[in-house]
Amino acid sequence: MLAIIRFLRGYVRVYLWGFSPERFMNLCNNRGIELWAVEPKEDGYEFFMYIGGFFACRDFLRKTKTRVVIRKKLGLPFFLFRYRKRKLFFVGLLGCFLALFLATRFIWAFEITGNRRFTDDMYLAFLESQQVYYGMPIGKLDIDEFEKQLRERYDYITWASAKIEGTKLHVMIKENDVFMQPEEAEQVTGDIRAAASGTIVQMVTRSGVPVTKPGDAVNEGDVLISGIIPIYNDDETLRTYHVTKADGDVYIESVFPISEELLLYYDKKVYTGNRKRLLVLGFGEKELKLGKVEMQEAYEILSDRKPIRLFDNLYLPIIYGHNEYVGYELVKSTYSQEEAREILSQRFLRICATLEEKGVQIIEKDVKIEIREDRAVLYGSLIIRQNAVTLTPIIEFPEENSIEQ
Amino acid sequence: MTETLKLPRELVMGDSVITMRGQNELFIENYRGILECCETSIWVSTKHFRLCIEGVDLSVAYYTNDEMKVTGKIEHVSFME
Repeated sequence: MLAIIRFLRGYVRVYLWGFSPERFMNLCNNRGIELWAVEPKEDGYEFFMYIGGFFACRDFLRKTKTRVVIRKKLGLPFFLFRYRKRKLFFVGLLGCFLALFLATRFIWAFEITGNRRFTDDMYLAFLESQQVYYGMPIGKLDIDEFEKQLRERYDYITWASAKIEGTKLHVMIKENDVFMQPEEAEQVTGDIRAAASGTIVQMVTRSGVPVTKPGDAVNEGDVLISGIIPIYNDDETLRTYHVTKADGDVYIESVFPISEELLLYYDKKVYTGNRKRLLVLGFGEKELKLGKVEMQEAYEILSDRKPIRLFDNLYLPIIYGHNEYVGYELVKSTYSQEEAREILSQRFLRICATLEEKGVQIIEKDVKIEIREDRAVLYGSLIIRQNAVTLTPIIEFPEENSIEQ
Repeated sequence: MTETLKLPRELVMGDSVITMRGQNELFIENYRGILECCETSIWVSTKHFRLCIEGVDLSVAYYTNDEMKVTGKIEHVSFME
């Protein structure tokens, strides 16, 4: 604190020598002129004193037959005098700090975290509907009201919190993990029907009456396990039916046809190597391109934008970046036979991978690739095995006797 | 009278107050002035005596109307008439 006061007042380091320097110091002391860091040096003393004290002690020099010389000038008054012709620099510096201070009074960035079901854009659209926009004053945002609106608007949000971090509005969302499906009436009865045509290779019945067996050929929609269980009397006459929910696993082997086509002639994008860069400066939502680019050919634009950020969360409404224009031309090209085969093979592998992800087992593959005049064709079929069952409501009920559930 | 009225002695009698902190700092209040000052000895004049401070690397940290501070390695403090 004392150092700050000394700096603001301004002080000097002087060298005092002569007949009676100690008397000089005592006279300064009596007059209330403060001296500090007094060090004996050569034939005299060096010490610090304030500017005002230096001017006031001139009479003592004659009295004590001493001389004083300034060795160093320190403090704000000397600093201002040294840069008296640089006022604009300081005005600019002050203006810069003022502008920075003012800029931090607004929101210049949004961050949404914790969302999985919907994208950031959707929430940003909601923000706009709540009059929360890029460049709004921080003081104008009612955080509690905003959080309340967010929770009310979206049922699946179990918890929402918003806070201002620097010039960024950070919205944290916790969504309900359990996927909310429309409540369906639980099916308590039903048949198991085939979801695909083919031959049954394996069957496990957990509930209901199997109406097919391994080795049977079935069509899609055929009943495989019935939910109607007949109840017999002791004399093996039918007494009644008990209707239940059929359950079981039925593995059906079927033929899965595959057909893929690739045109041999195509337009290939060949980059000419012509690249031009244009610097871009943005303020808020407006952008200014620094320069002009003229491309004689077709081109792609690759753009890169970065906001200016101080520290972690102090975003400023200034964006800088560049646009890169990459020229190309479309050249008529043809896939060679090897290339065509490779592309079709890759497609085929992707189809197989998709089936396997769904739990389908591929037993046999019988595909061919044929190169024709203007296209390459992959055709053939796969023998697949899958648990192709679906639970459906019982449609046909027996006519006679009563039915129990 | 000083004791009866419970007044500070240094205020009434003009005594100097000398405070030492360790071996490196010495504060003096109520003095008249510096008589001599060098790196090995500092002589200070008070109302009733002369104070001699001897040591190594001695210097006056500050010197005001009310108080002065001597720093350095202080080896002797003596009182002379």
